[in-house]
Amino acid sequence: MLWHYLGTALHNLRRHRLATLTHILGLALGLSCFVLSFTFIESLREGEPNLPNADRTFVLTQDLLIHNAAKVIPASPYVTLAAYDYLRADFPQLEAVARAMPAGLLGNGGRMSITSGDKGGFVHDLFVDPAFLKTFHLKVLAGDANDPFKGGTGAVITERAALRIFGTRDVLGRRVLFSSKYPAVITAVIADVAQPSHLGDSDRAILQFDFLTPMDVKLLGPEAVGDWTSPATFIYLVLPANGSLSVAALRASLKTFGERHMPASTGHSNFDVVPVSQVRRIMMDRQVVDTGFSIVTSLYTLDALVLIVACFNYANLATALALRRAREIALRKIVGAKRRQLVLQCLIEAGLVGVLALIVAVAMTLALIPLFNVMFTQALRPTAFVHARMWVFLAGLIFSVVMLAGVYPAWTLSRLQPVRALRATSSRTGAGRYIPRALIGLQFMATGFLVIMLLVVQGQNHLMRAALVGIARNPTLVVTTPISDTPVDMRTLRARLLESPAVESVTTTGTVPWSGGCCWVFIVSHSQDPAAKAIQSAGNRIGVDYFQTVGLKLLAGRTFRPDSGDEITTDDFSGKRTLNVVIDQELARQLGYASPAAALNASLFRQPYLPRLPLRVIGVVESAANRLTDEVGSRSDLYLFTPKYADFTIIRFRADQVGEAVAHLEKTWKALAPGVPLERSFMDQRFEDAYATFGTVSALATALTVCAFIIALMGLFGMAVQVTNGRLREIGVRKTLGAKSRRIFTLLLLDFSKPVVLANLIAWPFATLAARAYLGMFFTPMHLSPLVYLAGLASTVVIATAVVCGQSWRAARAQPAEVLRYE
Amino acid sequence: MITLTGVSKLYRTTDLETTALNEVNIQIGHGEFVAIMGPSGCGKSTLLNIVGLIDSPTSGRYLLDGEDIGRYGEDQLTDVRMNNVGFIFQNFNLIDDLTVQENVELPLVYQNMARAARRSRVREVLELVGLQPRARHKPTQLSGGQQQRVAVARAVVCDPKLIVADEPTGNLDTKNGEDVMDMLATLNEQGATIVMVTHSPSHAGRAHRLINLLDGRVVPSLRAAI
Repeated sequence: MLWHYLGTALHNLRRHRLATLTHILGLALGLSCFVLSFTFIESLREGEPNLPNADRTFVLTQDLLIHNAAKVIPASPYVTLAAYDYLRADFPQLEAVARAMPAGLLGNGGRMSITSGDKGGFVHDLFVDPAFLKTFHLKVLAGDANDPFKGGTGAVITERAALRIFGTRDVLGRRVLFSSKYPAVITAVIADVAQPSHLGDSDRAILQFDFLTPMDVKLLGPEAVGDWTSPATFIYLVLPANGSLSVAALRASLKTFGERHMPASTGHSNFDVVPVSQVRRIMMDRQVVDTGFSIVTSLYTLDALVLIVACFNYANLATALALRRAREIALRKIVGAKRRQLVLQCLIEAGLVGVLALIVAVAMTLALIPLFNVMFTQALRPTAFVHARMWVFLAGLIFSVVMLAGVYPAWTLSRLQPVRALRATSSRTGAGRYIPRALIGLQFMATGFLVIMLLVVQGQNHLMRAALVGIARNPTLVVTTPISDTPVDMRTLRARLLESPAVESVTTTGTVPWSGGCCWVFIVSHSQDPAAKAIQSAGNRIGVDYFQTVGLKLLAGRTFRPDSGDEITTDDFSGKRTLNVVIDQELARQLGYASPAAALNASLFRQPYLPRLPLRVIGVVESAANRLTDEVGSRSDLYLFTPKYADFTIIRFRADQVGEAVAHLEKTWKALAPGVPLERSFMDQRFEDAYATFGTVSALATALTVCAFIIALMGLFGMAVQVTNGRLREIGVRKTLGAKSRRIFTLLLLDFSKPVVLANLIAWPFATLAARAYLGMFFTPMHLSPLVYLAGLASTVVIATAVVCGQSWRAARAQPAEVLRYE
Repeated sequence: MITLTGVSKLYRTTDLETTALNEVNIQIGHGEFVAIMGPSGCGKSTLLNIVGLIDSPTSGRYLLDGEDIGRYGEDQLTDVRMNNVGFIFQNFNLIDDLTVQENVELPLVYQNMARAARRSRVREVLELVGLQPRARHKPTQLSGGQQQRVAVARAVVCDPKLIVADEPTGNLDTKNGEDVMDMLATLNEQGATIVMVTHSPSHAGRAHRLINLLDGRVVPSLRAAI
């Protein structure tokens, strides 16, 4: 019997070659989107395939809440240094506890300068504990494999970094100087970390490193080590091989870890652990998870939408095709076929199409992987297909597709009444008339949703790129070599730079603009009371002439002056004196002031840390659009005058004297800081780099929407062919009665547009929810205007109408005598 | 063999009710050859469909070999039909995509008969209707008469007790029509009960008995009714 089913199925597919090809391509398109995403997510799941004890290695996570219930920092593998000693004390059974902390300034993406004789450059350095090397089984190629950090000055370099900086692997014993201040001796060369891993030297690595240097508590200072509210390090926990401490027991105990050890006055944290293999996926998700938007979930949702569109399309076309076989099915029933046999027959046909579509989809995916890697700067490997998980997934996927796409035609056909099917001139009765429209509607609902999301993504990108206009108007250079890495005094550098007529102004900042991880989380309140209402803001450390250089207008009061007691040093954080701050108009509004002027001299307190710093507002400036995403959970800014801790230089120059300005900078730098490499970039380039991720999101959204649209249009076209053929006799009668072709054409177009319009309207609420969640993560979100919805509707209807135009016109021009005679 | 008692069939739309059969009472014995005649729209095909178990009456009883099949579910009806009834249609109703052999084989496939036995039985009946040389042809490659002979072969392949034929000669020329009638007569002589709808008085004359229908009712004779 099975062979009969298969034979019949193959026969039917051969007979309807064009329809079969359409089914297979439509389904394959949807499947390949899904398979590609799965491969991508699997590549994240792969985690640490080369780590022998990956199943026993975990990473601590921490979140941070303050008393008035605002979550300052969501759960992340970046945790406080303070937890380290308590973990070792609380869990002596652990085989290893190891920290890894980026040594470079976070404001510059963790990069730091290095010099060694005449060699130099910029590197990523990780402060690590000795246990780190053993935890990750890093292979020592040369040097001291047992104790490379002996004496506290040893440094471990990767083979690739050695070749890049020194041009040789033979670097043992070389003296290096980090940030022009911290000396070290290379004691070991290690092999590059086998990928995929969350460690490594590529931009994709979560903890990027070229060097490993010992975790120096003295260097970090007791404040940093005892600070529970500044998550800066990864802490790895290796469970004992003998099972004396289970993950469940560890997690249970960590639930009260914060309560046991964290001072209540600083807020509250929840601690937990995640498998080390999950770090890449978690950090990927964390890029947007703060707004409740997960990349993995979003990707799956979008792909699922495309797949659902493909399945509905297949179900619809398959049913339309099957109904043309109504007579054959009726005959099969008459000669003895039972309902379940017909259902099985249809499902086998669907399964065959599904399997063929899957084969095409896998081939398409393999072909698309290189393109995906280029577009999304990933390193997907086709080897993901050899994993058992992938095949289980594919089997599950094809079963789901067959069930989703095959059940409807099977159900429709098995319910056919033989007498009616043999007698009827049209089998489109009852539900058979409406369900295809409903399926087309569902396809266009998903497509309408995707089109609106695409418009939102594009609109938001357009808005973000508008910032570039402001940047171009104030051409600026950023020196990303920290001044603290040089022997130069900022005042001297500034004065020398301003000697050139090409330079308009010079300032410094604590974080490199458009670099991510923009600034401090600064929580201010009108009261010292920890229960008082507090406003979360971004705390910016700036130097002289900052507002003038970056082009922010003063709205009330004054800006910082070096001679007016505005400068803040480390000692001032003791809370003994009131600190002068400048706020932006958004923070003034959030604090409840009716105008910028009203906020002048306002008394504020910094929460939740002790002591509560008293602050006084001396000026209000316009709000800056200086970051793309809402990184600190706030759209307002607060500025602190900390020239000593504002390490990066911003130079504003005349637009017509770019060459002179750059030449002057290089000449001045060489004169003042010989031997220290100069790293500089134009502000617009920094913006472009920061924007690249959103360009990628846009490309992804466009690709998925186009796929869904193509599939839905195929379905609509299929329906148009089916409906117009089914209505030829009606058209003939109408024309006989006097209807003109134009009128019938309009009638058909209106008929096809109805499900498309209705589906779009139904998609609007869902699209609104998704768009709000997406826009929530941006610093300056676009306004979700009705025009977006209308543009989505109009574009969908216009394209859909264009697709069915030809078929409708052909049907409308049918000759009555011909169609009535042959019908 | 067949007893229809008070069988009616109504077709309803939202605002119209049409009576296709009205309180029909018929008895057909084993081995009988019955012809049904009547003008277009009198309910001949409806009656034949009910007799052949591919349609069900709106009211009334249908006893097949003493069994009330009105209580049967769809699958039971399919089983009864598969094992007892063969169909011949005016327009042949062969599946164009299947070969002659596959068309004839189809009822045996649904009976789950082993492949070798199926093929043997198909060969047997195709030889009976003289079409074995055409076994691998598609129906569209055959003449109307040949197609109807394939339909006859398909109808008898399961060795049914009852053969229902809906105007089996309606689409055939005189020669082919006579050939088909000869086949039906032979089958009847071999023991099959035959119920045939026809418009041809001469073909009806070859039946043992004639049932005249008018406006959904059985009438003594057409001439008398008019």
